[in-house]
Amino acid sequence: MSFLFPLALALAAILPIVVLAVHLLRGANRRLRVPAVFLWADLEQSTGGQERRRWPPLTLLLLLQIIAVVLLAAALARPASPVDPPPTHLVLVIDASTSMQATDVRPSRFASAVGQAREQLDDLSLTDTASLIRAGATATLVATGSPQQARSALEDLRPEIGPAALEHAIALASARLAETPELEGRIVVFTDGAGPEIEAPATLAGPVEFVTVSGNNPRANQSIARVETRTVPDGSGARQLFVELANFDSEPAQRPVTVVATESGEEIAGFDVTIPERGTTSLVLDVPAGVRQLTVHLAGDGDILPLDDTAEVDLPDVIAGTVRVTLVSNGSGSLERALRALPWVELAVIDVAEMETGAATAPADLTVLDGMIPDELPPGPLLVVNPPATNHLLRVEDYPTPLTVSSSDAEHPLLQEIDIRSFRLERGLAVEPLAWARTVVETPAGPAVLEGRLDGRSVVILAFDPAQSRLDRSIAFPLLVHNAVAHLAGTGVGLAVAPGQPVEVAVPDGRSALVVAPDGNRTRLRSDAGRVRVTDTTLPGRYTVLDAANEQHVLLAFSVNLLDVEESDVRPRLELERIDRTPPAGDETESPLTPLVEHWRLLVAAALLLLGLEWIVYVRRGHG
Amino acid sequence: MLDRLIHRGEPRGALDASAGTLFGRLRSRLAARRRGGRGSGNLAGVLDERVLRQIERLSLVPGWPVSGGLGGDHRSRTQAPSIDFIDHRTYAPGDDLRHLDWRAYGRLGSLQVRTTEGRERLDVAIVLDCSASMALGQPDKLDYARQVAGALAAVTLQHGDALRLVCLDRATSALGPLSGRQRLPTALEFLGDAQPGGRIALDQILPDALAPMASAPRSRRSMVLVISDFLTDPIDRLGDAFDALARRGADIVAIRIVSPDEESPNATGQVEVIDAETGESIEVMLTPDTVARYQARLAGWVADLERVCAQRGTRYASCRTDRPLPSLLLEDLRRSRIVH
Repeated sequence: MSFLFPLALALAAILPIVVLAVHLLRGANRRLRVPAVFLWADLEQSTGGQERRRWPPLTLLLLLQIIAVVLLAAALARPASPVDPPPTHLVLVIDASTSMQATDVRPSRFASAVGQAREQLDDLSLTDTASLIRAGATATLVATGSPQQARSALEDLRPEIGPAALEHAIALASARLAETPELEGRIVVFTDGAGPEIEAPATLAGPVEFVTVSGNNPRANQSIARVETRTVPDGSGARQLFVELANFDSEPAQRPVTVVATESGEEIAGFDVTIPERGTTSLVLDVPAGVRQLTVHLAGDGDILPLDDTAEVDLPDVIAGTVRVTLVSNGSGSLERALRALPWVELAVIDVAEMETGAATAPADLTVLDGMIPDELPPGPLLVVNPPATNHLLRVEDYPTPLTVSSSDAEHPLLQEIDIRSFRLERGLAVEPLAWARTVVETPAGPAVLEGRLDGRSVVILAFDPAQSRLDRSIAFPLLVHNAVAHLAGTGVGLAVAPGQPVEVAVPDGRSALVVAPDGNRTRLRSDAGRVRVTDTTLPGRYTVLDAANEQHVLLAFSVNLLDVEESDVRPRLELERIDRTPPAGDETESPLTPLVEHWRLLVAAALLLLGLEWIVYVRRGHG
Repeated sequence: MLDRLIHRGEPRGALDASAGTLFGRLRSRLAARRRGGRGSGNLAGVLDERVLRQIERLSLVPGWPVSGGLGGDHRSRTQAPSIDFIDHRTYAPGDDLRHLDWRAYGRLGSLQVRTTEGRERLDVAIVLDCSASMALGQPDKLDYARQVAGALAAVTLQHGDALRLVCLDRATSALGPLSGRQRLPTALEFLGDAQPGGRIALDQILPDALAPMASAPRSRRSMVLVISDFLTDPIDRLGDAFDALARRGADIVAIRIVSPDEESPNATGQVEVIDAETGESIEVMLTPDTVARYQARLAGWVADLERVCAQRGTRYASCRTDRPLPSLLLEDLRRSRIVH
């Protein structure tokens, strides 16, 4: 409650005194004509001036008059109270992209955004509505309802590794506002602006305000942009490591780089690298023999995004000697040619009949089954190519329509160096997914390339006839065969994925897997439909998936590396002013006062009512 | 003024002869005043015709058998020739032979004389206090007193009694004697013209105002109805005036007029109390306690007035101005044996 003309309150103090004075004077001058004065003599005469100044007795009429004038004076002061604002619907959009983990704002941009969003929620009342949208790789409505619900969801919000779908998030926020047209809607986007340009929807259900959460020097980030390994093609078996470093600062950055053998923890190299401003530099390092895994670390201070300062890399084994491969086939020229092209493969070819009759064969490190699957699988790893329609391993049907790739796991070692997009089957197979195998390449008819472990052996299935595909006539086919043989023979490069990318591991139903994160945290995951999906891969480093029943049994090991220049570039690049739809500040300067409701009419009405009441009392009593 | 002169006791015939057409104009003005003055049905603005119809069966109750002369409705103190048969008695020598009842002689064989009761009229004087103190109150005391006087005048005239009206103001004015119900308008006009004003010492002026009655034989006693607030201090002086009137054969009836606000003043605070007649004033701080003491004093004074009346056999009635007139006449004054 406030008064727009508080000076009038002085009247509230003065007017009652005036009324009393009037009554005092009027009482002194009041005359009462009586038939005879002798009846009044000596009752209580006031003989002196002191008696005349006696205050009039507090009667009901006098009390009503005083209250009435006080009310009128209060009405003149124009009491007013703020108008209760209409309930609002606040939609908070939190940028959960990789760059929000930058620490130029302590403790991080994301934590700062969460803190500011919490303050916005604290300003809401219980009648308001709040929605929370996480703008990660996809926009997700995390919570909607009361501010308390949004606050609880906000505490559980975590950043992701990847871009921010801000456009989609703003569109989703607008849609949420449109569902509550009776509420005063508002969208607040907390972002660092480190992402590609976006276009806000042309029509929004409410104003959009962008809150920038980047620090003063958001460009001070360097990252490991690329890590590659290769075997020197001189036949010596030597391996090399290629590391590319990027600097997003406007000044050259000098950073120490260390390369550590992951398994032994031994530092095998260290460099002081000067990275030019907004440029890259690269390193080439000979890897000592016997080292299978390396950790590259960009050390030093001043980096605001530690996420891209570490990279894990698996090195291909140097194949010592030869791998004995037995090809069971009725004659697949392309497959046999691909196998024979591998210098470290000693190939033995037998036909299907020999396999079925159980004729003695030479021991093999790997068996390739081409167009057949025996009832009793041979020991050791298996590469199954073109499985027959009737077999006990998987269900297969002819699929006469030409097939193309619908999805693939490009990071899988089987597809290394292969552009699978050109993969086309003139006549394919319809294969049901396997519980124990992971789908690497999928077509509309089902999995085309699978990889998994069955009864303790590694199995790779190429569920198509190479002769019916164009693949056998391209360079991709011998590469695929090479990768498959190398993977099954244990000489392939380990799986490496980007942060946040889920990884599936084949685990029989009813069993659990234990995921060991780079920081040592262990998470137990239960198998569902024959596989375990590891989704929490936000921490760069090496992950190991163990059999929960036998922790000595490693189901899968993979590395998580950011290695994404786009994500490492945490500089604000969005022109937020262009899409900001915050109500112009000029409106506030034109009407700086909060809307008020004045109450003087009520007070005047009450005063008039009291005066009317006083008149009624006056008339009923007669002259007082 | 001229109107008042006309009705101050001069015989109607003399006025008619002297005034001629002037009287006619004045009658017209009075009639117009009656029509428009205080609403239709008012007689000279004093008495409502409905009230008149309600009280037409009432008559005044004299304190003793009247002797105002033949012609009235009241029993005479003596037997007198009339048509009102009372009894037979045996003829005695000297009796008027015209009073012998020959039919009784035929049946009884003895001479019987018819005796009758005389009927005489009552001399009534209505004294109206028109002092300034009567002009106060809500409703107005004088206005109410006019109505009471008019009603009693109507009761008097409709029974053939002789009526005399006296208004006590600065100059005492009187009307009458009037007789016959046809003179009621004259009486009411007289009352309607009564104006309040001046200071009146009732105890002094009352015997003088009724001086003309003193010339009447002592045997002819009059009924004097005094309508006033009787505010005289000390009250015993009023008793002396009553005694003086009684010695002249007056049967005094005191009718006190009082207004409600006179009994319960609701003023508060510092008040200058002013005597309506003398202009004397005193400062009084009116509080509930003060008012209570005033009311106690007023009650004591009323008790003294009642005592003065009771000691002299004077009939007394108190009339509040908020009391409906029919109720006063038909109930209160009957209870006080003033009318029946």
